[in-house]
Amino acid sequence: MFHGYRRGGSPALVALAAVAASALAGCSSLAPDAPSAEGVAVAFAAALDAGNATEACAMLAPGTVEEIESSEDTSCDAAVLQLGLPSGGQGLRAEAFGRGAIVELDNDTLFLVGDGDGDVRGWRVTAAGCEPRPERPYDCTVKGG
Amino acid sequence: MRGLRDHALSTIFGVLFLIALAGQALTGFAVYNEQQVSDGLTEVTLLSYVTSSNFAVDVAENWQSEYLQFALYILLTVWFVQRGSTESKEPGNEGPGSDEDAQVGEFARPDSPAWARTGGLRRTLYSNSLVAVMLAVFVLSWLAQSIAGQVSFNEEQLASLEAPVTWAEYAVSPDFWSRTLQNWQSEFLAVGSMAVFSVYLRQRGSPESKPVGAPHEETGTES
Repeated sequence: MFHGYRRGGSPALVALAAVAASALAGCSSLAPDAPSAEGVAVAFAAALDAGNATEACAMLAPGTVEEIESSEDTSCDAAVLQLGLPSGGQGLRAEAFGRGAIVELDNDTLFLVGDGDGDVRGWRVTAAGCEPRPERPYDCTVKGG
Repeated sequence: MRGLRDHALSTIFGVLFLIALAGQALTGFAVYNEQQVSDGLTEVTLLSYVTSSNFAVDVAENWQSEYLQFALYILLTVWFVQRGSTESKEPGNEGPGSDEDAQVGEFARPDSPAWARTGGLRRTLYSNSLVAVMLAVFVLSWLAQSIAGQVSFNEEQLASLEAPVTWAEYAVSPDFWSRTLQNWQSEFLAVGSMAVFSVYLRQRGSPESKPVGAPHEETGTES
């Protein structure tokens, strides 16, 4: 109902609404931890370069592991080094929004998802070997189902 | 007890607001965690959810439209009338009215607010304070919607392996304007229909209605 305000609303409620709106904007604009997403992406690429399949698979999101195992018909450990993922290199740019992140490395672009909460929050790689396509999603060698 | 009774309307709306907001938080939290589980990820805490962009954008987009609705209604009824409506002044009385009507300056009453009795900037400010505050809350809420909406939109973009957009790109995006306009259209409809319904329909006992026996042509009378 809008009529009550014509007779003088509640300044306290209005002020509360204004403060809460600003607070909500502030909270949501706090970027999640993009540098740690970049760290995971670099570590994932380094594990692949070092031939450490177990370590690389441990950094993949569950859906991505399932997709690899389903399409390759073997375990992630056995398959991940054979997928032809590019050598990653150093991190160039990382952006994180909510529980999603994108990290550009020297030779690859990876997508990550934030898992867990608070102190135990961590990033898992959902897609790797990604190439941008105009007006379409990235084309990724590995991606979650 | 008398204090509570004197403020019963704001109290009950305050309580209803908190209950509805809590309900929105809990149901949104459940939906979010269902998605987390189906993605094979860990569930988040309630605190984490209520400070997330997903929750913020849903709250802010409704707030901005409500405050815009009120601000516009207060402002437009200064200059536009609806014959027979309780929400309108009499046709012919359009405009901000005289100082006598407004009870300001030399026409102020002994118990008028101090800024109504003075002149200059303070009186001008106080004369427009209701719309100013409503518009300020609208702008802040809309800004909050755009900021939280960008984060939420980009989260979806990244989940579908698409590039994130900047705030400036999001502010002109179909997602932002779709969220905005779907709220605005319903608010404008509700206000417009209320102005017309109050011409012909009555609610006995409500100050928002004319007396039940008041003629349809009578404008601006409330029981």
